[in-house]
Amino acid sequence: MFDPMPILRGNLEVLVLKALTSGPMHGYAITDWLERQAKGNLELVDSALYQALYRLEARRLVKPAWGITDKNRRARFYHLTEAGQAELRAEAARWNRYAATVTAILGAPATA
Amino acid sequence: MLPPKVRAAFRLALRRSDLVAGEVDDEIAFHLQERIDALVERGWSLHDATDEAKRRFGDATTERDALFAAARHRERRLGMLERVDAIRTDLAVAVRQFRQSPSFAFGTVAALALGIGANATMFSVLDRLLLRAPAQISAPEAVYTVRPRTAENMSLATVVALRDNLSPVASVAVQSFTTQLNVGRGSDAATARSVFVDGSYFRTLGAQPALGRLLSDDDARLPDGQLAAVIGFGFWQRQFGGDSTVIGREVSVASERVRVVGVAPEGFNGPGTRPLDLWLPLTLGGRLTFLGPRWATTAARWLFAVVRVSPGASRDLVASRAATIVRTAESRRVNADTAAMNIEMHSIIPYKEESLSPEARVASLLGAVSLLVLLIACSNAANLVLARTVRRQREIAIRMALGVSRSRLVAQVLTESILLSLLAGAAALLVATGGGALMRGVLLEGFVWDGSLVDLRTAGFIAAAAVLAGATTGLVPALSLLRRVDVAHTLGEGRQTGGPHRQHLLSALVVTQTVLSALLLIGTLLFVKSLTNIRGVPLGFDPERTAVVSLDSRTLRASDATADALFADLAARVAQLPGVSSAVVADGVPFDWHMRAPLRVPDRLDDSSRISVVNVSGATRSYFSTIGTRIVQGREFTDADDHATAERVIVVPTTVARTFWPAGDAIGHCLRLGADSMPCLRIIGVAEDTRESAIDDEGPPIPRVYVPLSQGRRAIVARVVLARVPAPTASTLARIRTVIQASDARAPTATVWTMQSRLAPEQRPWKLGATMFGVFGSLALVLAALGVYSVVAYSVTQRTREIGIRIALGAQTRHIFSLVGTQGAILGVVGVTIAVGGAAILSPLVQPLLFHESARSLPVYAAVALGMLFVAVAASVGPALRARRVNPMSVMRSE
Repeated sequence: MFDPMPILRGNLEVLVLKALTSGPMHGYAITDWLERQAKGNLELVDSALYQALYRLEARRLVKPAWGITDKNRRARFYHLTEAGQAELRAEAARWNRYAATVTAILGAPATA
Repeated sequence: MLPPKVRAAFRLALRRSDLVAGEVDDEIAFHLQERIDALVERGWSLHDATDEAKRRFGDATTERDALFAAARHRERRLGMLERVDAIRTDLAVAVRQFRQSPSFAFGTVAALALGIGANATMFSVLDRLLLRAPAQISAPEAVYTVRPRTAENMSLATVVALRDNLSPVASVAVQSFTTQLNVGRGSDAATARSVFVDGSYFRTLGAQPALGRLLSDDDARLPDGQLAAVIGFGFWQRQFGGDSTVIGREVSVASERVRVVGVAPEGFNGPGTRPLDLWLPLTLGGRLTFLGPRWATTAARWLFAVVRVSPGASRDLVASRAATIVRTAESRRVNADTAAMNIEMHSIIPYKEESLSPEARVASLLGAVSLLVLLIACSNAANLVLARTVRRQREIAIRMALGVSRSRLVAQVLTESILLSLLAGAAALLVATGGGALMRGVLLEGFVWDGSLVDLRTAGFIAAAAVLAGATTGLVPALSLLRRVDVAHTLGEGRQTGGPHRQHLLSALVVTQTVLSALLLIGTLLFVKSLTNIRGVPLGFDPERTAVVSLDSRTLRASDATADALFADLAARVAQLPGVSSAVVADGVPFDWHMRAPLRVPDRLDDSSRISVVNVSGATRSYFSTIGTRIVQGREFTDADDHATAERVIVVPTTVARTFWPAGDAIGHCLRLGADSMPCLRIIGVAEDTRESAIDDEGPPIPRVYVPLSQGRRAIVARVVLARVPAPTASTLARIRTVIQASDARAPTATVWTMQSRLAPEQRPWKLGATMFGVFGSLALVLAALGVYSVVAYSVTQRTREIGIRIALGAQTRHIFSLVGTQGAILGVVGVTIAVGGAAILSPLVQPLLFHESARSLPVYAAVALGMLFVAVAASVGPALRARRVNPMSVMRSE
């Protein structure tokens, strides 16, 4: 097993957006979801998540609302706005293209 | 907690900073709690789980602060976005409203556009006339002109005395009157407005050349100076296409060849407000003007001084020293003219002077008037907005019931008004452009007018005025909205309501409009009557039908027989033109250069104080019929009189005849012009008095006497051809010009003008007043009529039920008419009464601007009062007709 990798700056936002596609979540739920998806490969600092959430909120990509959890606690739930969904689509496409390109280059046979 | 969308929609309190901090803390606490729970579930001890949760969150203090900062940034950004959204929504709503009622939008925009446009026009005019100092003069606030109070100008000796003796309290420059000189030859020739200046002129004014150099002491060194010239920037562009090789070129100026040494800075016109094209050393004054060899004598009064008060010296000190110097210099003259001894010193910045030019005075008044018009326009627009707000009451009440805050509603109303007024501002730009052209034609002929009238300053003014007007217009309805909307009441009632409060507000606005427009109409009539009065003053000749042809031949030597032949030939040609009934050669005619001479009646030395000096004209047969002056006694000149060797005769005006021979027996007596050594001239005729100005500000006019042309002292007078032309004169003047050009090449370029054109400037203030008051007044009248109409119409809507009941109870049409008409009449009466009272109170302000007309003229007041009442009643006719058609049944049912 490898050491967990830090998330590159700017990549956290798109992951948060992805997390919210399944429905409104509060901050901890997003962390939990991301950790489970990353299977220990990504190193997540919790406060950075909130920074990312506030940035997304300021850009109106997510909208917060206070609600009550199953455990009857007051929590700030975030849900994806239409602009957030569009942003996620665009960012995901960009990431896929980028990753595919890098992967292709790295996998290319060495030439003289 | 409401979701932000709801919050935004209703503009509930924005989250404050502590609230935000609390939320962040709550969120962090929740997060840590969840994490600890999860770890404990996985078997961690509570203590270890707490440590781990904190570790994973990051450094407690710094992270918390960073999150606070991020949250605050987020709130600021969201707040801004919400405001932008709100404005966008308001604008969209406003545009939708305008689409729904385009006539309302058009009416408001038109009213405001006219009001703002009128103000912008007046602003730009006042800006030019009053606020701006003459261009390209350094520290203009220290520069003054010094002239004699009554006599025209000063002699060279006097200005030189000033120049030599005023230092160190002031430095002095010398400038001459403005004269038209021809620059160039043949078809390239152009007329240049020229002045003669001394070597210290440009230095004293602190002007820097645009090209080459300006005139120096060497150029104007007495007695001969140099043949040098500085040309104006505009003239350089127009005449030489801005070609820089003009420097050093020799050009013809009248009869001389003069070297161009430099170009004056752009916009420079010396200390005055009228444009100049050419500056010449004053040493050329003798060669280039009619003054001839006498230019340096004390008889030639053609110069004035421009002084720059030295730092540390006061204006009063300089004025008193200058007065002493001038008095000393003038009293050395043989025939010392006491009038020339008193000087006046004026700032070159117009608004600093108490004695403004008539144009500036009238323009100031018009500035105030245009503010009135803007007030009327605003109140009219407010009226429309208010009336519409009332109509939208139900909608507003519903929105309030839904929880929309009042401030939000006020913002909506204000957005609408400001949008309206910005549209109006755009339209006002057009109005101001048109108004500017009008002002240029009516008022500012001959004033310096570089660039467009609607410049950046004016555009800025329009923008500011538009926003202000929008806010004012929207404020009244907005405030009434805040106070008056009773949600339950309005929603409970099915019909339109407004209530007495709003009715009063509307009435007050309309009365204001009536008052203001009545005031303007009174002003209009006063100015129109002044204009009629000044046009009606008998001048003793017919300025409208007298054309004057003055040749550039003031430089032709009077002794030159060819000049005589030239003029005689010209007169003969002009006389043959169609429409011209006569043409004669004359010397020293009204409005042109004239000779003044002391008048002496032998054995009547004691009387000489009464009329000491007269203007002398050289005339020939038909002179009097050509210029339109009647001979009231005796005869006019014949061809036999017009010989140097004939008996010396004279025609005197009635004033002279009556003063010296009250019994009416002047004919046959003799008098002298000048010293006792001069021959005595026998009086052969008495002509009606003439005057060159209808205004008596400077004492009674100097009488004009007439001698046969060939007996006159031709050396110092100006010869012209006078022609009696049919009105309108334009085509005949053009024909005369053609005739002159067609004559032989020796003929210098001619100036052809009517005497009326010289009278126009003095009539201009009244013409301006009459025109602009007329424009503003009619504008105001239309606005006021609209106002009365809308109030009465509104009131009819309000009282529909009452009217319906009355009709049901058998009221006749005429009852309904008088019910509705009375309201309009009452508004009119109240407005007119206040207006007449106000006009009487304001009359001292206007009186100095009127000509032979009382500012409390009863006929004027009465005419305006009746007119306004008529308009008020007439404006009620429409609503009254509508009231008559009210159907009692439908009114009852709608309950």
